[in-house]
Amino acid sequence: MMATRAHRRRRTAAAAALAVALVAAGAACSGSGDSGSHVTIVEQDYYGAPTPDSTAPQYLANFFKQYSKTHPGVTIKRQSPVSPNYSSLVLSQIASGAQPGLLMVDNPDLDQLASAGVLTPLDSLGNVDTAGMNPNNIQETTYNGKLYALPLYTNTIAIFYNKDILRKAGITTLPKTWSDFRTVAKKLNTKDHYGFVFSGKAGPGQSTWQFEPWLWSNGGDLTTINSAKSVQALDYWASLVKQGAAPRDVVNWDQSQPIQLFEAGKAAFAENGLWNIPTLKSQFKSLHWGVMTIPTRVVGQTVISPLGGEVWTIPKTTPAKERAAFALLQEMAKTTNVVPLAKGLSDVPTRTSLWTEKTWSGPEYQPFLDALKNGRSRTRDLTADYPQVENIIGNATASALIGKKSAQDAFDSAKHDIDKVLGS
Amino acid sequence: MTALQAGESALRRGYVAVTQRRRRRQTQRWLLLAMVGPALIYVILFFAYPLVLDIIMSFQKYGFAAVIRGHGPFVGLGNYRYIFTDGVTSRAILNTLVFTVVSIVCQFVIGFAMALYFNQNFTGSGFLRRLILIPWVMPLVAVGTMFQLVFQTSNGLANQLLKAVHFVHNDVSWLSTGTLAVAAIVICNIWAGVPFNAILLYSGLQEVPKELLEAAEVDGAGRWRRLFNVVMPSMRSVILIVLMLGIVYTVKTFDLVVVVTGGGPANESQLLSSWSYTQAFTNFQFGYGTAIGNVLLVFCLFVGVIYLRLSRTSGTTGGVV
Repeated sequence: MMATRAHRRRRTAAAAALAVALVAAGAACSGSGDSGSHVTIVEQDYYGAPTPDSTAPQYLANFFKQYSKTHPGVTIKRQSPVSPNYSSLVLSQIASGAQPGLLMVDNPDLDQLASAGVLTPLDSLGNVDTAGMNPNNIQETTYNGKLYALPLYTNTIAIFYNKDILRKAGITTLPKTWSDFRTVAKKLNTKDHYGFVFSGKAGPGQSTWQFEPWLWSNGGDLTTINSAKSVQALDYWASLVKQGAAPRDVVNWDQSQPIQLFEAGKAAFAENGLWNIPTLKSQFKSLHWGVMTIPTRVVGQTVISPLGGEVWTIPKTTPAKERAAFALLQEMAKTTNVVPLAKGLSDVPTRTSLWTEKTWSGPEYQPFLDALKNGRSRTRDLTADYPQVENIIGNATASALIGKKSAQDAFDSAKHDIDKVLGS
Repeated sequence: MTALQAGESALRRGYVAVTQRRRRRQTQRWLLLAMVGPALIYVILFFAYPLVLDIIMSFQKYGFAAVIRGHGPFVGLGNYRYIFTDGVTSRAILNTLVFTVVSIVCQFVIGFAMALYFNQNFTGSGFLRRLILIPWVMPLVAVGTMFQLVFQTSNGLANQLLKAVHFVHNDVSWLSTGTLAVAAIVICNIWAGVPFNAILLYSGLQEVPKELLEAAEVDGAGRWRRLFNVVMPSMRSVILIVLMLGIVYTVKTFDLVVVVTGGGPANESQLLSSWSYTQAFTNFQFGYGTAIGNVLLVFCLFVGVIYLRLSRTSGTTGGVV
């Protein structure tokens, strides 16, 4: 899930995006071929240039430098275009034959690339060690029975709550069901702070991703979006706004505004991702907060959350480059490298045995880790069509949130549009 | 020299003159071609060729995989037909029309009023005239970011102002209500476009013959009469230019809507430009995206033709700017 992290950066660097992209494309073109035994691999991600306060780019840059040193036949060139539209940049790179040798993509975009036949199945390059990785994440990187990428780290969403606001209102037990949650959030929606904040804005990794836990936990799904259970979930979501538990402005918020409100003590509950934990811990020491599981309609339903995080894939280039990229990826996947990378990105490793590490063993991580165990790959049902369907559903939920359409009408017309996407 | 010889030499001279003229005409033709050539090549390479590709693409189903393959299957008029069944596109057409008409009318009226005001040349008017250029030189992305803050529900300047004058009592959800979101981008665009109108119309006002105004005054024409019957007719070409450029600038506005509303909520404030972009670059429906873009293109061509007609009948070529 790139939204928040990438989003903050995007705003500041939007102007530089094009220039960087052009330079990046140029660098990709100029990557030397397979002359002799020397191979140059262009690696691409969107984590940005190394800066003192961004540990992941720093780590990656050092890691690649070190790798080039210890592997004399290999040179790695890292490029990190900060593009407002990374997936369309990748598409244009591939279409013009300037694809990187090792590529990071946001996980919902992987199937689209795999279905276009531009990626190398990892199993065809050698033995891939995925032992111990969360099987849900492996499912997310598998397309048509073949593994197309490695998920090294992941994330998901739950609900952050402000302990002080709850205590002052005399709330001692956390709400577990939809109706309890709505009642409490409504009560906590005052002049000083909002009750519940979330992202209701359509767009990649925004409202659909935030809606999925409510939808899936209730037994709804994306392919039958106008089914009774799916509509019930949207009806509930819309009721939060209608009954004053959440502000109407959620339809304009991507994931960054809600968490900023929460950090400022202006929200009692905020649905957001685990990547916020390190910042909350280090920069908002006076804020007393906790994390709770997303409520279900009735007690006993299992919370099913969407899996976030970027994955690493190998686009089709030349056999020598693909082999070299594969070797590099396997090195990256080693525990000693995954741990600092996951830490730097404020994610958690997909290797579940690492969750006992000190960084991730605190109580604030527990609801997220539980959610990851029951996590669902967003592309499980729709594969390559997910990105398009995600936008359709995002706009449908928005039209219900602002009360322009009933939940049933919104999802009926969404279903019509989705069928058009799937049928064509 | 005999008469015959004289005649012969005259003939020869004549023949030489004719061939020389012909040759000169030929070199002239080559010269013309050489002069027009670079422009022609430029237009063909950067306008005609992409336009042809664009038109072809709008008849294709051109998705993610098609971009990689470099071609997509033809779907006939499918993309264009879908424009009429897709609710968002109809909404985007309506929004674009409202956005353009309201923006242009308000920008023009306010701009004209400002031009008349500054035309009185009071102390400091020159300085103020330069000052109002600021909104125009500001990048629309910056303008949009600023207005996004202005229209925030809580703590936004717009709501604070409306509450202070007791026009409303509760905060207005500007950007999360469809019609208000459109209103917000219209207001924002008017603010950004007024200086352009004011400055051009002000320079137009300088061209109005003083004698004509004085004569009208002597004849007893009132202030409004002078404005509508003397000033505006003599500014016809400037007004035409301001309106036509304004319409073309406004109809293709993209950055403003993307920054202020992102086309939201629920695609309620999409303009043709932003919707075309969304379809092409977010949904990777390049065929449908270009079809939507071509609706915009047809509209601009239509405006262009009207402009040429009007400027021809008015006897000017519009070379004012």
